[in-house]
Amino acid sequence: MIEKQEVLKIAELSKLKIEESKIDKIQKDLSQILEYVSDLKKLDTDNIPEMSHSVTIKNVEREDIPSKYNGDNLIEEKQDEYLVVKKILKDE
Amino acid sequence: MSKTIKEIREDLDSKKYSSEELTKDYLKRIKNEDGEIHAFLDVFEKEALLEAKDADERIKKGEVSILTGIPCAIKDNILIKGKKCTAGSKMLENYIASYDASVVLKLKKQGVVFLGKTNMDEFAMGSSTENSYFGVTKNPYDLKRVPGGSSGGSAAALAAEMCAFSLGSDTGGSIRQPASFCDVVGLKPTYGSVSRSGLIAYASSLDQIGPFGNCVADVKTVFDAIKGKDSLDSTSLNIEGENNLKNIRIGIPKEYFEEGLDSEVKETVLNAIEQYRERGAEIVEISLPHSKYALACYYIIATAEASANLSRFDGIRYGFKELGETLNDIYVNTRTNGFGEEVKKRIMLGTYTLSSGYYDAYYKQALKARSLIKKDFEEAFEKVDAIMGPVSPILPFKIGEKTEDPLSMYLADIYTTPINLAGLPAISIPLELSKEGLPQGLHIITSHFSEEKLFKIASLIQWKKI
Repeated sequence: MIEKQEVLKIAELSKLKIEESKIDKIQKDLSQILEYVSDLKKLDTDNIPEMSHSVTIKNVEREDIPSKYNGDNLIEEKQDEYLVVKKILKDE
Repeated sequence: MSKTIKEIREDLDSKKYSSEELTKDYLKRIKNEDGEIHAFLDVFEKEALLEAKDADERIKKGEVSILTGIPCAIKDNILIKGKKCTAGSKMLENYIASYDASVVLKLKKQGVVFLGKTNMDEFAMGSSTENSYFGVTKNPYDLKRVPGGSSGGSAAALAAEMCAFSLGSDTGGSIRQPASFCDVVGLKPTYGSVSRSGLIAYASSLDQIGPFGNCVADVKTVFDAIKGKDSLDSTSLNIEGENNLKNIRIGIPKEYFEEGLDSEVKETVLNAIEQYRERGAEIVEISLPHSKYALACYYIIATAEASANLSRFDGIRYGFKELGETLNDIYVNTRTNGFGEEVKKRIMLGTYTLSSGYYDAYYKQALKARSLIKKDFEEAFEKVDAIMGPVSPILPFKIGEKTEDPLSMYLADIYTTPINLAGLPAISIPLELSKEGLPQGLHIITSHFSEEKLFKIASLIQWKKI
């Protein structure tokens, strides 16, 4: 079982807030899953390479030629030469 | 109306009916049936009819590709330019795609008709389509049961004859398991054979787009249309695997028939394999000794990748936004109120196994286990042409049956996740219905980039729907 403090710490790292009433349930669910995946620790993996990708691929390289990209359709609102975005700071 | 692509192609080319008439039929069926099933999140009535008219023009001029004028449905984590793409999440409820996924572009060039976008577990995280922010999809074979997931909408839409084929994505079984639950054919291609450009990422080293079809030939037709190297996805490749087939040897992993497998599913799958023996295939028992670690390995790797992939949903760049006093508050408020419970749980799980102090014990260990799981398959494919077993250990379950117990839901993926870890191609073939009338599937797996062999083997038996 992971500690309640630990659950709150992971939530903070994940940029999530957990309601007080839901902490127990999440603590229980995460503990159950972590207990299940902890089975992996039994596996002897000395000298076994790590594999992050299933198919062997080579680096893809191309000539570094700049090209123009028209992203106008990505811009919701424009004013003169400026982008209009939602406010992220509070008025003083 | 459950016709194969080949049959529709012949009908369209011989002017038995037009693509416009066919599209109207499907739209009418969606209107009549989908209120109850809820496979679609968005239906493009106007645009679909315009696309159908364009296709009819092409047919008139003889400028026809195999899929011209054929109506399809697309999972809602694959971008269609100018259309909403929600990934089943409140986070992207009003997000409009600014470009086409490479697979969509390929289908557009063929003149395919897009009927709409289909429901899914939020960010493809789930095995039942119950995790969608927009409500549950029901199994057309029994409305009290789930259609499987995460591509449950695409499977149900096809099963209920609301499209001629559909696309889904498969990270740990999300095409094959709903195909098995809804009695249609579903293919998870070799990792890298289909471009992921324009697919909303869940776990990038496992995600792969693939087709649902009414028969193996349809799935092959759609796979051929969407596969190939794409400059927009550096992990996509053009590789031809070993596709020769003379005397077939089929491997049956003993680990896939042990405890936890429903006895009726077991019997049906063994009967199907018996049919291969009768057709002259050699059946040999094999062992994939690391199978029992695959699910744990999958849930560590998938959630770790998800925690990184989903960090982009911060209230600044995409979709949903909830204000706060500080920038950190904006991140936290947006993510807390924009993500559903299962997604939050997986982000937290991934964050935990990647965090300092736990990285070696969980994530690094899982990457090593992944090597061993892949090696099991490589050794098996030195001896056999294909591996067969069940797709799902259980029959389609009731809505709500597993939502309170996350681990029991995860166990539904026990046979499908190893395939994604190893990057192999695999197909789900519908077998006879259970005594209760529920669908069940046969899982066929071959070596990397040998989809042709997979199709040949899958087509050897005259399955009921072909």
